[in-house]
Amino acid sequence: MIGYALAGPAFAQAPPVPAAKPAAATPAPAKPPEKAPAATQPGQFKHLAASEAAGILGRPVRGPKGDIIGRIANVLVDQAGHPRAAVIDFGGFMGVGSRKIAVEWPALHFAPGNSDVPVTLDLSSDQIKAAPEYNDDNGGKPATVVAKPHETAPAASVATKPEPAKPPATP
Amino acid sequence: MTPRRARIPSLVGALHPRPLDWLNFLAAALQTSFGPFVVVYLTAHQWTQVSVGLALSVGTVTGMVSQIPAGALIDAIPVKRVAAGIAIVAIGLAALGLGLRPQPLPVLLAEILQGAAACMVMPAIAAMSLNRVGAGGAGVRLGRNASWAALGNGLASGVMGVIGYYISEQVVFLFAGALALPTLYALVRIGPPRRHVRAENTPVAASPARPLWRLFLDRRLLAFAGCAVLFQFANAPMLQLLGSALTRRDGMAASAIIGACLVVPQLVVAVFSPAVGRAAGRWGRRPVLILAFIALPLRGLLFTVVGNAALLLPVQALDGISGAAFGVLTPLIAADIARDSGRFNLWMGSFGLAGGIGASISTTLAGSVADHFGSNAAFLFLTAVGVALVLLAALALPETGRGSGEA
Repeated sequence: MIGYALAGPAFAQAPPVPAAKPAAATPAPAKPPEKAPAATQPGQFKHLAASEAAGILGRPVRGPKGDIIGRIANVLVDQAGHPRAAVIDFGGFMGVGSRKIAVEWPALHFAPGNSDVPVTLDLSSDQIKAAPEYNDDNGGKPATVVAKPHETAPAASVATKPEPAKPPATP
Repeated sequence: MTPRRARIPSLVGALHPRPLDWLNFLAAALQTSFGPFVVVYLTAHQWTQVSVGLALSVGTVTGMVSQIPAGALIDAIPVKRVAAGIAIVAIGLAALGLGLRPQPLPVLLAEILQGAAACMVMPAIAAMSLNRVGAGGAGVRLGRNASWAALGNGLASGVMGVIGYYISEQVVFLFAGALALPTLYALVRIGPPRRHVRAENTPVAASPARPLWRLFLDRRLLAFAGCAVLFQFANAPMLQLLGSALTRRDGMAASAIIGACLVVPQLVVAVFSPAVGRAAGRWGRRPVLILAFIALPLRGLLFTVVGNAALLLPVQALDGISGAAFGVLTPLIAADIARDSGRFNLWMGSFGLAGGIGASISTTLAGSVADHFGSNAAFLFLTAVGVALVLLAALALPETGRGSGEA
């Protein structure tokens, strides 16, 4: 680490490598030389306090009543980098009878600094119990994710519409 | 019903446990941690599902590959307590390793160690038991072994479940590792056999006229190995399937019922094993085995129709009946076959391998059937295998006992 930091300033002062190809057909303007050097520049170090962000894999998930209903086994992330669902290893006794169930990301709440209750799920065990089991390799079929029940807004309400939720998974 | 007079020995046994009883109890308790619980533990330590599956497969494969060599090894070691001791130390170390270092390399080593050692423990204990009973006492003694092992397993499941939930999963493995110490103490307390070593434990040297591989063609061996394959095939996935179906239906409320479904069969095994051992001596191995095997497809069938949680427990009691018979009769039949070859542990290893093959194929297959066609279809599939088992035992398995009077 120390050696790398010492080499840092020296690296940054190296002349940028010209990126434009000499025989290019299109008269492209001289490309800003960021592409090549950025890959060779040392990465920045940022710092995350334990209370700010923490790992969630394997951490216990508590239901609305506060009881531990399972542990996070996996996180499903989409193309844009947004987590869409978490897979929870749910239920059972000493590993016998546990099932993996995917729940939508907005149904989860996180408290990184709280080691007792790091992850809370808005859905009760009854709401998720009947979901089909999540399989990593589902043979190309879409995975079933349990979402929060669709909130029905009263007709006169001008409250912001809840984000369109997927209908609850049918077993 | 067995007459009161014949019941007294097992009652006395329960009131005055001997070191051999404790050994069975503690060795079984020690091994209870190495079940589906390892998955829970590793998941809690951020292991991905693929890695967990891989680690468990390493354990399973090691176990299967070690069965026969371990059997041959125990046959070759004259003092069986040494073999048992080595295996117990290995399992204890594996449990400690798993508990202290949930990283890839230590976990793989622990799985390999436990896989190999687990093949050695019960056969070595059974061999020790044979050396400490007279000609007529094998059935009863092996029945007591199964009984105490079931108590150890049942109690440990409950205790470890509580520790895992209220304290931590890590402590479960540390506790299991610590259990190795009283187990070794019980082993030391047993002392050398007072009679000379039984014929079943004295390997007869192979000769050109009677090569070792020829012994594997023994019809009794092949038939019971076939029964072992089918029994584990039908039996091994049932509890997991049941648990999954219950969790699907009842959510978290199912956890307590699943726990009860784990413990009830162990209690049944504990109560009935000595009687099974005695019955196998009085009426022969075949009738007892066939009768008990019927409980297996019956249970599979009942799982498709019984929904009420309270009724599930009596159905799970059937698991105890078939389990008790299989647990007592495997070493008994191995001893019968070893009467002329002296290779008791080699046959135990063969039966262990056969059972392991059945269980491995079945868990994946039954899981697939349940995923595609539902749990009921999976239960019916296992019921069909159970029926095949009963037929195999009825039609192909010869009677291996010496005749009535041999207990």
